[in-house]
Amino acid sequence: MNENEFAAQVQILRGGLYRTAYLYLGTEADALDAVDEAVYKGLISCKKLREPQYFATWMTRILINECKNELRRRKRTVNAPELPETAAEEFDALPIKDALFRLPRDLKEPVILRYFSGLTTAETALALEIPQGTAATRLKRALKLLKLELTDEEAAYEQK
Amino acid sequence: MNRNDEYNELLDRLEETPLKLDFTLDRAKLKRKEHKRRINKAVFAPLGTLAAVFAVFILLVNVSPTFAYAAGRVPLLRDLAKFVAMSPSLSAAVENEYVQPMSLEQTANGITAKIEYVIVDQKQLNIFYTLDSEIYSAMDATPDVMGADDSYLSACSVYSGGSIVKNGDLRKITVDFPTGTMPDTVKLRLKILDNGTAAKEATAPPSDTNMLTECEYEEPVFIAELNFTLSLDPYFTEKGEKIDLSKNFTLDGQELFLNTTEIYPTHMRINFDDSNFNTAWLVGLTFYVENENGERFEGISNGITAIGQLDSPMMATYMLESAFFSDSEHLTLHITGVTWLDKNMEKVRVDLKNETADAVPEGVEFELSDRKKNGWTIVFSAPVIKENSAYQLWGWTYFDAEGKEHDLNGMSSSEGGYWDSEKNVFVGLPGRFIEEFDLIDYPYDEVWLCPAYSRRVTLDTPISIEIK
Repeated sequence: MNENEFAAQVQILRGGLYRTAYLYLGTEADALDAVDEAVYKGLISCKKLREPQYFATWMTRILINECKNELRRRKRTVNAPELPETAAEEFDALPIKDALFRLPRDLKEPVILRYFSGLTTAETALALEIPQGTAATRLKRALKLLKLELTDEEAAYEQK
Repeated sequence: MNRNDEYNELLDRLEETPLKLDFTLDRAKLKRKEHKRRINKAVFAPLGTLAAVFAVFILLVNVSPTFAYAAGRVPLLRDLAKFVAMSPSLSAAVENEYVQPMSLEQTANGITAKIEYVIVDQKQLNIFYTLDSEIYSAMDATPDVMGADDSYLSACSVYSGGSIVKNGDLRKITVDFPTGTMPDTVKLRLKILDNGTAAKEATAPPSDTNMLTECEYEEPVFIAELNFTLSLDPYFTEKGEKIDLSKNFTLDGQELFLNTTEIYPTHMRINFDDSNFNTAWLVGLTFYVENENGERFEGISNGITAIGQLDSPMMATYMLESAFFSDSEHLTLHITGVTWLDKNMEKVRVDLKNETADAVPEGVEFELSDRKKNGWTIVFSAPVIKENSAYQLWGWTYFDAEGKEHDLNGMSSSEGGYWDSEKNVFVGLPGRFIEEFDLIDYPYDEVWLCPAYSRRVTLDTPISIEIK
């Protein structure tokens, strides 16, 4: 992918990248920093991307790494801990944003990518490097915990 | 409100992205440019030849009893002593057994990489390693250097020699930290290239030279990737001292300020500042340092020789061989020559159509500007400088009439003549250094180039300043 194509694709994807980073990190400033760093890393290595159809998953993977780096850096600061899947009542009592933050990580990541960033289930699986069936199962479990009634076909974010 | 309403409301909120997000790509481009500029502003000197390494090693073993003793007494260091013979600082480090053994080994795709030793201090990490394979006989490694958290270390420059090395022979990667300090842990990724294939590709016939094309970077195909984690011993990474000097002096009519000297086992640094009232920027120095016993420490001739500033053309830090192991009580800096960039020559107008320039660096001749379909090929010549066979005449940035900034894609330099692409003849210029570059997608007839220097001065009387 050349630099012009990269620039055009980033303009399209940046909103989704920001939403992903925001839901990983929880603040606007951290989300912007993570997107900036991911876009910089994408820019300097976009020529390595030989199959442009994977741009969204490739950039999302770079961004997720940035978010994880940031979370590792701040691991000593106090964050609300994840709740186990058995804590259905606690999830129910929380506003959706807080409930999302406190989902177990293997459930939270597919939800962010699928229902907030605009990736398809197949792209979500690719970005997280997990089988598509696993992604679909985790999405179903997460939606159940969040008491959200979104089917995969509904593609809630895409409808908006 | 049910959960789906909550979800839709959260989506609506997230739809409103901050204005700053619109400029994320601009910030990425700016960061890339600053990174390139930082790399470009570190001046490298070429590696010596392998033959010279052997000659120096034999000479050192013959004339230096301590060197022969160190190399002979520790058989494992013998190869390392031979390998670093061209570097007075690293040789002194080996003589003093200032070496951290590593003994790390990784194998992938039939290729084994071994990291044998490191020589490290506060500011420089030298990694000595070997590559071996029964399948590949001509390998090269591209190193990536990262911190413990896998992030690229942005405050360092990585330098690995490009000469052909036999399987099993030592190789070196140097990581310099111009501003930052050495981390406790460094991750190294060696991406291995089959040079046998690369060499064949290099002999492919040249493409059409009548059209300037963007030099598209082709990612090489790596045959293996080997990952190492280097835990650096704090005993070594803490080594080094910084001496405050705060001395003003006048050099060739310009006011300079000698800030500090830094003495590390691997090298020394001398840091200057200048006066706002100067009419020229300091861009080069010829100098040496001498101790009370007459022992001389020359400027670095193999690696980073000077470090510039991001906000001005000044080269503020000069690197030289280390006096760390010399037990010197006093060190004196002797400046014998200086290179200036006059402030009124930071940008000069060049008339491409008529092959004239408002000004050029001292001794430089405008040889050729050849209009191509989508730009220009430009050739300048200058006197050959024996001590620096690959110096630079012009900076990497140029401007059009509207002040828009452009970057050169590359420069080529040679000696003795150039190919006149307009007339299809070779123009011989014995004793002249040649610098050639292209202005791609540049349709205009004039350009503003940035000289790398404007004049060189050899001092009749060297300036001497005590720095320790």
